[in-house]
Amino acid sequence: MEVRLMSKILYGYTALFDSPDGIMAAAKKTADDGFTKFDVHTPYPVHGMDKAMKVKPSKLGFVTLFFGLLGGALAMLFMYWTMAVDYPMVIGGKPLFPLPAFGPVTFEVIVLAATLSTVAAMIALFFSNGYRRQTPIPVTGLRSRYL
Amino acid sequence: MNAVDYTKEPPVVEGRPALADIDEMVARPLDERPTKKFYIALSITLTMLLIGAVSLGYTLFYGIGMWGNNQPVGWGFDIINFVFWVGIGHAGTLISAILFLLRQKWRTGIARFAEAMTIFAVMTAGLFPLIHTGRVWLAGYLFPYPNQHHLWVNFTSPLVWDVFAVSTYLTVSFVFWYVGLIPDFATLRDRTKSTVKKVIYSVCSLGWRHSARHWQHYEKAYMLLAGFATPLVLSVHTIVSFDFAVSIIPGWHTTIFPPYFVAGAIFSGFAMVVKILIFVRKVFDLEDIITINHFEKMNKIILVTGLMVGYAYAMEFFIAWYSGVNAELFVFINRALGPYAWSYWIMVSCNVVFPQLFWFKKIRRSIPAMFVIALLVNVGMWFERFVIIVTSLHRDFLPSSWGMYIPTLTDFGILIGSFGLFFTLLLLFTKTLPVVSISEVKAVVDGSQPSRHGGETHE
Repeated sequence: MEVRLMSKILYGYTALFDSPDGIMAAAKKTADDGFTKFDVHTPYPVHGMDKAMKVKPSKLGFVTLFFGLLGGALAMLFMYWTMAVDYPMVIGGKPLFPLPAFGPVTFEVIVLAATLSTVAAMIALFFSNGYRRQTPIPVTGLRSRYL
Repeated sequence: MNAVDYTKEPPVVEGRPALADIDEMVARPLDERPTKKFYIALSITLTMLLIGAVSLGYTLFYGIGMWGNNQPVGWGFDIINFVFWVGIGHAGTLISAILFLLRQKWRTGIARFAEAMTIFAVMTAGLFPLIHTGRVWLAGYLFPYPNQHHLWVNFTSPLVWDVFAVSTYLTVSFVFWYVGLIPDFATLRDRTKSTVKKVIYSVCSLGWRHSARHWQHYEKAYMLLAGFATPLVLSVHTIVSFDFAVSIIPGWHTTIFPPYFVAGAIFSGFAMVVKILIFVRKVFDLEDIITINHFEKMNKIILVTGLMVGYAYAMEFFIAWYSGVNAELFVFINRALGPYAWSYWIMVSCNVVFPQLFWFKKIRRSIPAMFVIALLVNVGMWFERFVIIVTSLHRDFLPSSWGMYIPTLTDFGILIGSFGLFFTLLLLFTKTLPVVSISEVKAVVDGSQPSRHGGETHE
């Protein structure tokens, strides 16, 4: 493990680790000591890291739930409006609001809305970290080691 | 090689390469100039694509009278090819989403490629419903938008469900694939020395810094996407089968169609994945990441889904007899013994008989054998759609309206062109993007996870 000072005024540490165990222990120690503005960079997700870093679970699921339900409700409403209100047409003697026949399209719109909103929210979260400037940008060596 | 220990899981990545070596292994083809072989392959696929483009041009200029479609066979190669290509796409989503949810670690080596294959197959498939309408320039009518006629689409029609299913499937597959690519774009960004590439990769990696805080959201999003892609993939071929099952044509009007179509789709898709990966692992020296164990597992899936398809064939016959409906029974006897019996028996032998060879371990692990069987499976599955569409339509209730369907050269041209499009896109993909997910493979190399988890991915 190597420790380097980043500038004359000490405002951060960067350390490289050679094993996932090492960085896990370090992250746990840092979090236990009460630091919150720190980050860990790994070439792949190291399991158990969020627990060690004491970060809260991702709230992305709520975005998915909200937009999924919204998309499904709007799809159903729109189909009802077009087929039964705006231009009612009897097709094959079927009712104007045949719920089972609207199932497939509703499902597809739920999936589409939920997926796109989840990914958009995820990308927004990538850019919206408040501690961004405190984190030195890693340059090299990261592809196979743990920062 | 022959003594495989089935009592414990074989390592997903062979030889335990250093993590940086994985970068090199996967990303090297992107740095080198294409070889002569690549250009030869590309020229072949582009020629096929050109044949398709010319045939399509003829079709658009003269109309769909250029095809063999007639009364009573109103659907021909157009819909056969559509169902065939949508089916090919299904293996990709199965590998990337369903096996992800089932925590099958072996998926990592092949998931990226299979997903790319899904996208290209669905793109190819998506062309056919458009050109089968005859007037492609009016395709916008398929979507509900406020138009001058004040007309809306008929949401109770399976053809509209199809529009939503296929376009959602294409979008979600693309997004899922792109999310998987983000960390790899960042890896490429960090290792490239060319300024142009650095800019492109930086933009594509969307600010990714491999930060654990990013990984946390990323993993959540990936899991949610996999959770949605799983029912989505099942729904897409279900809805494609509704195109048939919701009608009243004997031979189409059967409730077994949705599961039968989904099993057949996975069956044909895996056959395509096996065939293409055989070449990819050789050409790009990825034998350590895409191992013979991967192929064996895929061949087992081919065997299982092949049995499901075989069961569906038998059950269709049984129900036709058991229902007591004369028209239904006639269609099935006509399939097996009528003028298109040859296509029926090609389908049965390729889809049910030959895959049985995969019961033997030697054949499951033999590259040439699996290539031939996978090729036969794809031929058989193409003929399955031919059988379903043509034999059901050509002799319906009234003998006076019976007819025969003979595809024209234009039909074959468009079929060749669809293969050309698919393989051209695949070839370009292999040279522009990492064909294996770098970050996912790193995460499953032995020793890559903290030891207190005992090497397991999840607690």
